[in-house]
Amino acid sequence: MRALLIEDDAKTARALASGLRSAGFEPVTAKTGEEGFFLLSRESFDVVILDWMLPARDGIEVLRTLRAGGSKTPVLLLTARDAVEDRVLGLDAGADDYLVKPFAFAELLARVRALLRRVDSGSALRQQIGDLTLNMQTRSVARGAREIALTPREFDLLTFLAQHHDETVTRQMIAREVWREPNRVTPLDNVIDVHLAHLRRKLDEGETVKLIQTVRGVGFVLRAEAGA
Amino acid sequence: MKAWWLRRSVRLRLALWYAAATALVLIAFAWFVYEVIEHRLAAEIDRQLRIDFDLVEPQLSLDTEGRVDWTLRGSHGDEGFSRLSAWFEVWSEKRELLLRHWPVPESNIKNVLPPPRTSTLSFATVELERGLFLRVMERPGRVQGRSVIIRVFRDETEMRRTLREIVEVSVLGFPLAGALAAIGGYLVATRSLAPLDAMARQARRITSESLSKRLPNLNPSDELGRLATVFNETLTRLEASFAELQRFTADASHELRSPLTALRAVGEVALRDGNDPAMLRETIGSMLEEAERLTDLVDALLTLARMDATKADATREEVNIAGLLEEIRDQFEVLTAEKGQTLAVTSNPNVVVQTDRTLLRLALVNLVHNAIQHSPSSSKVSLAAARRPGGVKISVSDSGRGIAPEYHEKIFEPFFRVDKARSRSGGGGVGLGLAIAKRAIERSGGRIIVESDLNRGSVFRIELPWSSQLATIPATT
Repeated sequence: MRALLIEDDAKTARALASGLRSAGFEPVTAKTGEEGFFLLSRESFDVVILDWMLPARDGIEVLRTLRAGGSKTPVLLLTARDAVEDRVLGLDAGADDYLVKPFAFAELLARVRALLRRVDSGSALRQQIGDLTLNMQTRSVARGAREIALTPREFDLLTFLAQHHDETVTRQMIAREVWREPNRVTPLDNVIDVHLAHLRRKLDEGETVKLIQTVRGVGFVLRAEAGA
Repeated sequence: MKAWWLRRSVRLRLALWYAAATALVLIAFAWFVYEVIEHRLAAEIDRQLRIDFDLVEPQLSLDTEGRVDWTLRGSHGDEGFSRLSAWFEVWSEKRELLLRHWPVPESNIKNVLPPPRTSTLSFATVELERGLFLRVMERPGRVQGRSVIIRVFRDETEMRRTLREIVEVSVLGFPLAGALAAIGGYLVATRSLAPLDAMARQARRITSESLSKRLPNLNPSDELGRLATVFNETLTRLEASFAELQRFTADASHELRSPLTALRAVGEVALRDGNDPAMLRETIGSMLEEAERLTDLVDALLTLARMDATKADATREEVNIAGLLEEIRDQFEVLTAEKGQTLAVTSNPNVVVQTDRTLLRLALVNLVHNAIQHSPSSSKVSLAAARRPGGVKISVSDSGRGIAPEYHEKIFEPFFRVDKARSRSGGGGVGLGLAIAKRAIERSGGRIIVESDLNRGSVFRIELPWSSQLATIPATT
């Protein structure tokens, strides 16, 4: 998977590139819009991660030129501008997704994977992670043979974690995707924590393999094998 | 022209206005005087003509050959008149000249009037020759039984000269009067505007460093006093918002620097003596937590700042209050259940207001979160909405420790915490929750107050109009 990262801040670019590499991507970085556009016109990429604020030729301009040329490569736009008008502007210019700085790397990874999945989507009706079985149709959950009763919220939360299994998800991602809460200021963290605690008790109590793990300072991960 | 006019000083403009007004009044007055005098003089001449006629007619006689003759008769007082200035003609009804008596030899006057056209009384003014204006009266008369037309003349030159003098005096006098008015106006304007100049000089001396100074106000009831009062009130507000801003900046920098300090300290220490991977993990986790705290803080600050800056045409929609309250309850029920609290909602199901749902929800969510945080286990938090005249009132009550009355205003200030040690609640846990709630409600045209006392719990009351004209509230943080 080749990913083009157009980002002018060297530190951010280096960190993201290294993160992407360890997540199995083959990242190529460009420091300016000019350079990024040059690379895009010569090579092919599976996904483009594009910073909005770039020196000289900004991200939106690169994006417009790219789309005007008929390219369908999925583009994730990174920006510190989170006003609704900015989002609309970004998406109108042809971005496939939009991520507001500062963000958790886990979220960037999740978004990039979601963009790539969009191409070959078709969500499973049943999902199996270790001995955990999720049935989306009957909305039932089981660990091995043990049926687990969940509230609708808990089921949605588990579904979201399962969709991103082996990936870390942040509270912010959960708030937006499960609670449909677009406002970052709404105090939902405690609510999410309590729901997660409930979910954990129902799934993992008495089991040797703990499926839901906390990644300190970042969020949570649903994983079948014991991780660090 | 207009631009030129507006560039002049007030005092010059006032002076010119004075001059113009004075000139206008003088011209009107002079014209009136001129008209009156002219009328009076003309009437006097006509009266003289009648007298002349009455003097002349009886002194006319017919001689033996039937010619008209003028014999001086009567009282001696009339002699002077007759000899010097009697000026008349006698015409027959067939328009033949019977007698002509002019005070100067006939040959000296080139023009002669044509014979009278009618035999009725008539007045006319004629210019017999250049500069010689005469008033003429024609009137039928009788000379010893014979019908004649007598024409009497009077010289108008004297009257015309008088009138011309009036005009001359006026023309000379107007500019003088106008100039005097202008000078007077300038002096008066200078004098009355002097306090204004002084005020401007004093106001200039009041800068951001000396905002506590005020303009001297000698007489609060006159115009300048009112101006000074208004100016001083503005200064007071400005000073208050400056102080507010300084406090806010100090608080914000403290709140921003604390996580940054922690971030650096933890990182540096780990770098110096961290060889244990588990310890490094721990360190990075702690640094990420601080970064998250900073992110939350920046988000909350931006939300607060944006609420001041956004245009007032934000989205308005019909919001069902009961529905909104229940939605919030559903969201937070899990928290209250965890603490054994009850979260009760009482609302008329049909209360609907026109407002920005996002803003109202943001305010309520912060208030409810705050209430849950500050209420002990197994207590009650209630949310209630009811109609009130002109709108709706919503209350959020908790059973917490309460807030002392002296803090009732302050708790809505950014970063204010009653208990400094017990930090982070609401607003993403950065001490901005109540400030955000207050700003959001005020943006929706409503207001929010707190009723509370120590150990009695707190009630936050929101009053909203039915339809909120999203107001641009004054920028006091």
